[in-house]
Amino acid sequence: MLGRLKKWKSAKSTIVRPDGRNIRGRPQTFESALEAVPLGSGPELHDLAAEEKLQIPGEPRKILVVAQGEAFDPDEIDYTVNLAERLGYDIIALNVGTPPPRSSRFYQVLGKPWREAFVKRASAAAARFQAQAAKKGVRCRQMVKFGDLNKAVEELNQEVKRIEFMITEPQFNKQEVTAQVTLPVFSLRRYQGYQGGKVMAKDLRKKKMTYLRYTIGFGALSAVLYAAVFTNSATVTTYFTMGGLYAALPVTTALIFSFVHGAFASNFWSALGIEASRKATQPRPAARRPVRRERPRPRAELRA
Amino acid sequence: MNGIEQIQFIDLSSTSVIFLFLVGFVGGLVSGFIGSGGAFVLTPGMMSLGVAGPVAVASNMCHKFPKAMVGAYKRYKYGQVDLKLGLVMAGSAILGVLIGIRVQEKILELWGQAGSNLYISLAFVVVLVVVGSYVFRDAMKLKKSGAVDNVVTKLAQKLQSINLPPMISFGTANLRISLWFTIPVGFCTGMLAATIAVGGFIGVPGMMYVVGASGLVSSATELVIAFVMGLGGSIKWATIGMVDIRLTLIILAGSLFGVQLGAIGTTHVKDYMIKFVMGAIMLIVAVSRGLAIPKYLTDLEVISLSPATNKLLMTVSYISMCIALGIGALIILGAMWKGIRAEKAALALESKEATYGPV
Repeated sequence: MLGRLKKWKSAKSTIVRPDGRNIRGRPQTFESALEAVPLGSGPELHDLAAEEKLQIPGEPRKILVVAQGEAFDPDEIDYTVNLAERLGYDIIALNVGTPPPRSSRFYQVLGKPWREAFVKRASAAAARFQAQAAKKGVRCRQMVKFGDLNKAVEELNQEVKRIEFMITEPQFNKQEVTAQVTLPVFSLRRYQGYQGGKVMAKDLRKKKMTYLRYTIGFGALSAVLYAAVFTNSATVTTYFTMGGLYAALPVTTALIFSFVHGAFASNFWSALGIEASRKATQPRPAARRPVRRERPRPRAELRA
Repeated sequence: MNGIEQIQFIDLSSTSVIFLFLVGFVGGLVSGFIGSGGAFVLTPGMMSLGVAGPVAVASNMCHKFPKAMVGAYKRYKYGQVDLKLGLVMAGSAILGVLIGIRVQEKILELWGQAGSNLYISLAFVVVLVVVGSYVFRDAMKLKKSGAVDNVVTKLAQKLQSINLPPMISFGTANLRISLWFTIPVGFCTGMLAATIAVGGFIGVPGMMYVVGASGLVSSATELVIAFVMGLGGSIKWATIGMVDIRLTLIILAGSLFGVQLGAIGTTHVKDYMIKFVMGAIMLIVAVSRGLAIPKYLTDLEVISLSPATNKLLMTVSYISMCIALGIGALIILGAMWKGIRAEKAALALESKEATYGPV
């Protein structure tokens, strides 16, 4: 009897996350919501999983991510998934579709297929979100609503419990959202021209080819310079050893050769793949930072 | 001296071109790595090809400053050069060079060429044995202890703690010390440069043990000092028409390859390796110059040796100097090879782990 009780208890309170870690005290009912969103018909504000009232004690806290349209911003996905992982929250991804006015001819004829198509596209777009969340062991549930964004959020807030705050896309109008939603709203701000943006790794072969081109170019130039000096060595020696102000000649020549031949030698080693260690190179001491330093990624700011 | 009238420039054979190119390369490799070197082999090397002494010194000097510039630029990119320290040291080194030349002239006046040679050789032996053995011992100690970072000597710590204005902060070297303690180091560097043509044998250990910079920063900063002194020296020699630009350019052809390879090498090795190479080269060169002393003593009629013995000793002396440079180059290339392989292996492991999880 005691054994059975223990078994029942552990089955109820343990969920294995995709990364293999156990989460205690989380209800399992939410798992079903990870599946594709069912499509229904009916009222203008259309909750596709309205029948699921999540009012279980110990209900997980959630972050609401809203996208106007079917696609989510990639930065928004990154940010939210990381935040949810850190906080141990779940995510609700809400797509709000804005259909044409109800009275229009288009709506009367093609309203339903339009919405069906929207849900399909939104589900496909959310799959990426869910996959990314699943990698970090965060549960992500997608919902679709139609109509006014603020009303949709408000309605969802009533239906789903424990939505702690909302994250919106960078392009959302701050006033528009915050005026009517009774949730703390964070919107991502994306800086333009930030320092140290995402630099794509250059194709190694391309890099080597560039070095090779430079090696050949500077090598040819260097050879020309050497040939120029050594074919006229008698004249060169006469003028270069006249002393006095003519001292500028050997000194300048040595400098010019060091630039051209130095560039040749430098590219030559690089083309051979002999380059400085990436780890061992000591960074130069950082220059004094400007007071306001732009960050390389979008950050949330509270607009509640 | 009026340049061309008195000096006969040699005809270049292909053997001498190859010889100069190779010595230039090896010398460049060593100086890119430890901040100086190569000059001590090049000047006698050129003289053995029949180049007149002043022309050999002038042409060598004229190749030294562009080489040092390229090396310094390369190592500056790796964040190893403390430009401020280099310029402060170079300023006092110029003073040292001027006084060093005066001392040389005085000795030449008093005891003639043989006396001057003996003075130079004695300076070589004393400085290189004392400093070289200290550097070498320190390198071995560091190797045994496995210390990765620079260990600041007690002397440097003491000097850094003395607040004698003007105090200067050196960013890259990561230290703060009074100007009055850097001046003697720079001065001695200049003195030695004027005497044996390789100021770095005092400059680099001085920066490491007296000022308290790391081996990496000291050797890189020495290139700045070498550039400033080399440029000044080259202008001086060129105004009296002593620079044979052909010799300069041939050496430069090799040394620009070497100096860049040496600079790359510093990023693949541990800090003590620079001290190790420097100590090893200094000790072998000291032996080499020690072998030359009997000849100068014979010239001064202090001892008597047969000309054949003297000749043999001089040959052995020169060969051992080449060996010093060769050994230095081999240690550098070996350490670099090991470093590059270790890095490649680590990178391969990293990418494997990224794909399959911890291996």
